[in-house]
Amino acid sequence: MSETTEPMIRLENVSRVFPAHGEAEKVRALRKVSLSVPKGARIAIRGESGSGKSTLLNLVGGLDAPTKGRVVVGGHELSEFTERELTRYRATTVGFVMQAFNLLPALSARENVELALEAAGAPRAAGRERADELLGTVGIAERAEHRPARLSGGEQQRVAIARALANRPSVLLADEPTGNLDRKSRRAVTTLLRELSEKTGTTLLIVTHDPNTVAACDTVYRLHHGRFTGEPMAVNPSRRADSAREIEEADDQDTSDSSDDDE
Amino acid sequence: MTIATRVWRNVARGRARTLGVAVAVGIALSAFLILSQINTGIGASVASAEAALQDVITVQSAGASTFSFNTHMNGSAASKVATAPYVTSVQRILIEAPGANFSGGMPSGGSPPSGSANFTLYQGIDTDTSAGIGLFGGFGGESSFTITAGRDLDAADENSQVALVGSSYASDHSLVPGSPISVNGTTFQVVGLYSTGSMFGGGAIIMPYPAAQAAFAASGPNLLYVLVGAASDLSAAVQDLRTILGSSYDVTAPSEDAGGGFASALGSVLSSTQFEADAALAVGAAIMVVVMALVSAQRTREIGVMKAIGFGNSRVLAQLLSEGILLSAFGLPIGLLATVWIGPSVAQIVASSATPSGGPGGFRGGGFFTARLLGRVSFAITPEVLVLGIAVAVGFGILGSLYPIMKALRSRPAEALRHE
Repeated sequence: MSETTEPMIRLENVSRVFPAHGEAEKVRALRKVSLSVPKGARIAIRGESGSGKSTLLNLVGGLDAPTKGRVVVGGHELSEFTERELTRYRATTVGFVMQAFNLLPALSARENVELALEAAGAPRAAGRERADELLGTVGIAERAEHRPARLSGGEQQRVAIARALANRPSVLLADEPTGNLDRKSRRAVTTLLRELSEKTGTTLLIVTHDPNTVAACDTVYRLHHGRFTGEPMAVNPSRRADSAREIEEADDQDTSDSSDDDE
Repeated sequence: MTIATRVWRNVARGRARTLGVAVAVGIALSAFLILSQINTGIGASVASAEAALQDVITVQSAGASTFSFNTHMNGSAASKVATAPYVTSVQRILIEAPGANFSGGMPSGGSPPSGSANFTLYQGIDTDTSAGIGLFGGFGGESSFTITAGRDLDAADENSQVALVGSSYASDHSLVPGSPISVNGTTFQVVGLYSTGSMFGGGAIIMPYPAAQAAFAASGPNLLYVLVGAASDLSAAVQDLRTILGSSYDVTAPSEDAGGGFASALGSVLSSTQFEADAALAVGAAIMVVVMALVSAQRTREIGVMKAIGFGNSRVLAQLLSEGILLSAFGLPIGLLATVWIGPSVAQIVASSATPSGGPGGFRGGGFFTARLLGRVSFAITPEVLVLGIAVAVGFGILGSLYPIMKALRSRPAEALRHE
């Protein structure tokens, strides 16, 4: 296989079992999941709560390790990394956007972005310049001095996106990035993620419930009880709004079916 | 942004928490410093004092008992003793109790004999304490000598007409430091009040020996405490003194019990203060462990975020450890101030727990002597105390922080990020 055809992200029969006191209580979050994401692709992963979406993202981000299987990113199998290499990988190869924003409360917006640059070893002056540039890119340059407690949810998520992009990662991972936002902010953050991915060629892997965010991606996978179900759905770039509506209707139908089953 | 800035911001973020930790660490630190200073203070005196007491020889007029207050030695006897071979120091003791009738001897229990309740005990002593014995001996059962007002007598008072007055006597006669007091027709100035907890000690007046001798026109002391340079010289010194003084005086070598009792009393205080100082250290470290465990638990998610964005364990550890040390360091000024303020009171409590033990002639109790030593322990903030305080505060910060931080660092970032 040539270098150009090597996918950016490759999961091979990945399982993740969380230990518990008894065998019956073990949580099998992922069951032999395989996935191949080309470089620059924008992938959405859907699924109900507890289906294993966040676990999958954590494995790709090097925040967790699989119980079985291989996670290969940029041609490197993560399980072969030393702790130091894994730390470097988190700092430079992947950027993480989380639902709860996870900004450090004692630091300003700019300092939160600078922190990621510091982790990667960027010089302080260059780090400050880059942080300001990114805050400008995500549209909150004027809020650079504010601490998270004084920012709205949408603004905090923009800071988190700026932080995730600080070191120009090859892969941007977003875990429910719009989950805590109002409708207007959801749309703005979704558009921002897509545009940044298109502009920088960053591979985007988003876990989300939000149909609009799903429709902003190129391909949609669905996880159910730790396994991918059905065929991945390709989103028509010229019909994103329709795709979002169709996904929403499908979700409503699923919810309705589920209610009928319960009865 | 430097790690120091982040550390400062995080510590400053929880002001109530920082204050709480500072107070807790300050209390533990002051307990340790106070007990350490008591321990060091006693320890420094123990070697020389213990050796000295082992070598104390008592000299009295032949046939005199401890309470033969009217039996004075010849004035030249003390001079002869002072110039005798092996003798390094002589402490003269003059005890006068006008109006008291001790012909029946002293009953046990520290109460005056029947019919002698209304008397005042005057004691003249050499105030030069370089001999290591202390200013004056204690009566059996007096285990806590404390200056309650004014000051103690010291070497500079040797030729002054000044007096220490027992608290019960002072109360009965409305005396305070600075008051004049008439001793057998001679006016003395009260420089301090003391308390011993017994009616004898509390009712006595203590003066420098020369002034007391003049006031009572005494030919000499009732008793001499004689120190020799080394225990090996003791027998020879006793023989020489008996030869020099003749049969008019009893020269008595110390009993084994005297030194043993003293050593036992001091040893008891030393070991108990050492134990308490160690306990204070352990409590301080335990406080920091609990506090930092709570802080780390609250910040587990932050640890997860830092690791998720590419900070290695060593850098996260350095930051959190620095925070623990800074938090603990805020307790340093509180601990130092508390040491200065409450140190003397703690010393008094420790002194009152010292085991009393009678010495030669019944006038030198180990517990009493210990109480006197404790009364002289300094609780000032010296450079040594400051360095010790800083070391302990930093130690608290490191010891207290290390385990909870390491525990938090061992978890995977994903696990830490799930922490609520």
